[in-house]
Amino acid sequence: MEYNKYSLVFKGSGFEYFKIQLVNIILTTITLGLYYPWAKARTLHFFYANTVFNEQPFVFTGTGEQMFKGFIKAFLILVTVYGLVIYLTLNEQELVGLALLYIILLFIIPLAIHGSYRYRFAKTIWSGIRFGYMGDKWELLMLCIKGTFLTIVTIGIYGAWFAMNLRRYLLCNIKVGDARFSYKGVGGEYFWLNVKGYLLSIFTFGIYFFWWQKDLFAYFINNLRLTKGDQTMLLKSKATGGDFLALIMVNLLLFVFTLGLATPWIVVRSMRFLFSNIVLDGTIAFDELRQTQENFDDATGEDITDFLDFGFII
Amino acid sequence: MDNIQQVDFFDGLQAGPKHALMYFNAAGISIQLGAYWDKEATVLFFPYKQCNIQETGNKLIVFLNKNATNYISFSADANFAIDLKQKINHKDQSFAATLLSMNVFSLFILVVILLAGVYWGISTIVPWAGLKLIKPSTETELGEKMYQSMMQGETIDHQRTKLLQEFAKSMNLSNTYPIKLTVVKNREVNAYAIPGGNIVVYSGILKAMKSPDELAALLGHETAHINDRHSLRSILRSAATGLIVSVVLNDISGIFSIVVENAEGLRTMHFSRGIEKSADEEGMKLLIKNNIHPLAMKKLMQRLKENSPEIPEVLSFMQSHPATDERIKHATEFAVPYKNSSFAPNPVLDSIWSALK
Repeated sequence: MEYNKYSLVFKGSGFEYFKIQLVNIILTTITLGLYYPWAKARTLHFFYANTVFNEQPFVFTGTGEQMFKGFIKAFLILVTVYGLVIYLTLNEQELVGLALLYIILLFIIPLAIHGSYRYRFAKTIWSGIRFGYMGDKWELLMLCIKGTFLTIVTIGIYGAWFAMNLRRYLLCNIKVGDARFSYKGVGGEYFWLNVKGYLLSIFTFGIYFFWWQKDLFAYFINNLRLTKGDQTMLLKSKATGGDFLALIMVNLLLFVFTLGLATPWIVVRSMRFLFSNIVLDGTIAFDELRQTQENFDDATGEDITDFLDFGFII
Repeated sequence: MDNIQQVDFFDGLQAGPKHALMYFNAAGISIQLGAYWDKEATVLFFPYKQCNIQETGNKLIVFLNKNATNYISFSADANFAIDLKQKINHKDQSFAATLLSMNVFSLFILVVILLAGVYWGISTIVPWAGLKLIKPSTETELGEKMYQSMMQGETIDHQRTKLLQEFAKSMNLSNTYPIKLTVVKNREVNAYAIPGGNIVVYSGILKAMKSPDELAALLGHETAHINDRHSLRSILRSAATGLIVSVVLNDISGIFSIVVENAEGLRTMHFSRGIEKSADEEGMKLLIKNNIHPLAMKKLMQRLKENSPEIPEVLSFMQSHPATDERIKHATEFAVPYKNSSFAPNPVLDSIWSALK
């Protein structure tokens, strides 16, 4: 087995992204929002194509058409749910309506995350090899119900364990060809990391906040690995608190002094920063990676998470 | 064959590009692995109807089947790229492609114009539709709820309320809304209208007034706000703005908070000059209808102007009604045609007035 260093870079330009955003805004506005799925496809194509691992870019093979179908389905599902809740509220059943809304969302959100992961990873290709998400939707649902319940009961404290259990479940089920990701972050460590970050940020009048961000990023990256048989690739963050301070302060200044117009540049420079601060090495021979994952075309979950403004959470 | 091109081929089985040769004709794309074309060796053939193109940055990717498992990639600048794109019937999504080829500055101007248009459209359509959809009876219902919550913590002068109600009753104020008056014990020189028919008059303003026609003018003015649904218009306009802001910021709760803020702000609502002027005018028309000289409006305004400096409170009637002098001028002009008309005294109003005083 040979030991390798791998490279991961983001080479997109803020200017190009700005232009894509402008075109997307124009088309989405004049179509009253219906263009959104195609706009999203264009944005994703940009981000994937500009993310290069070992000299090979990622490819997003999802299309606007697929996401449009999901968009319509997601829209109908959510309109039905909200319609029902509004109907109940107007008929003086506010509490029943509200309770129903929370219960339905408790079920819809995990299922939507599941659908979103399946679609997004099935459409992610690197060097001709498809990614895939292998999680089971009922396991994820149980995990979320248990997590939500315990988080409420413990007035939020269990939130740290919930977040890590969720992240572990999602990441451990992601494959690229015949290699599999794994994550070993746990709730206890994550909880104390946040307690420490929170308290020290207060005591230092906010200065420690940047070191807290550094710790959170490192906790995410350092616990992530990719394995293929007995071969492994390890990830390590080399960003310092000072790096984060510079990144965030410059982003803030850029945003304020351009009245937000610099947002595309902010996104792009943040991506560059994050990727350039990850060190990847290990023994996986990536040219031996084999295709094992199947295609998946249903983008409904992806679109529901968009409607609910979840983004793509890990 | 001179149209054979070198491309990177991804076979969908194992990672990494393979060097391959490609040529295309009317039917489809043919691919052979290796560096030299060998007539004897296997040729993979892909008909165009299964193919799909993705253009990102400076690279073109041609997916060779529906599942996108096999694909070739090459530079978008390659001389055969345009020809191949046409063959695959890649329409470049015409309009999007046109936009993408424009320069950033023009695109930016376009976005600004478009968003300004959307802003204008929403801020016109929402109030218009709202006024159509919300029936006066609904407005009265909602106004009553607002009234109830606003009266909490106020001391109502029941006796004067009753008298003022009689005063209003003997005037013909509104055919659409049930006008309901309330006198609140408060030294402020203030009065305000709540959508749907409620008018709240502070005892301070009653004390300041010297004649019944001034009171009639005040009621005329406030009723005009109700009849012309000024508060509702203003709330709808803010809601429209709130809608735009919340769409932009992705925060729906914004709309509700704006409606709530407006309801709270009724007491001190600053209408625009135009709206105040029109309320004055409509109020004077009401006065004429009730056989009261329209100059009473002018008298009312002058009286309140005299009174306002004595009132230390910030929220006096006159301050919430800007540009008093301008309005006095407007009222005078309006009353010119009635200069020589005579208006019979109204004994009913007079008697209630003296009781109020």
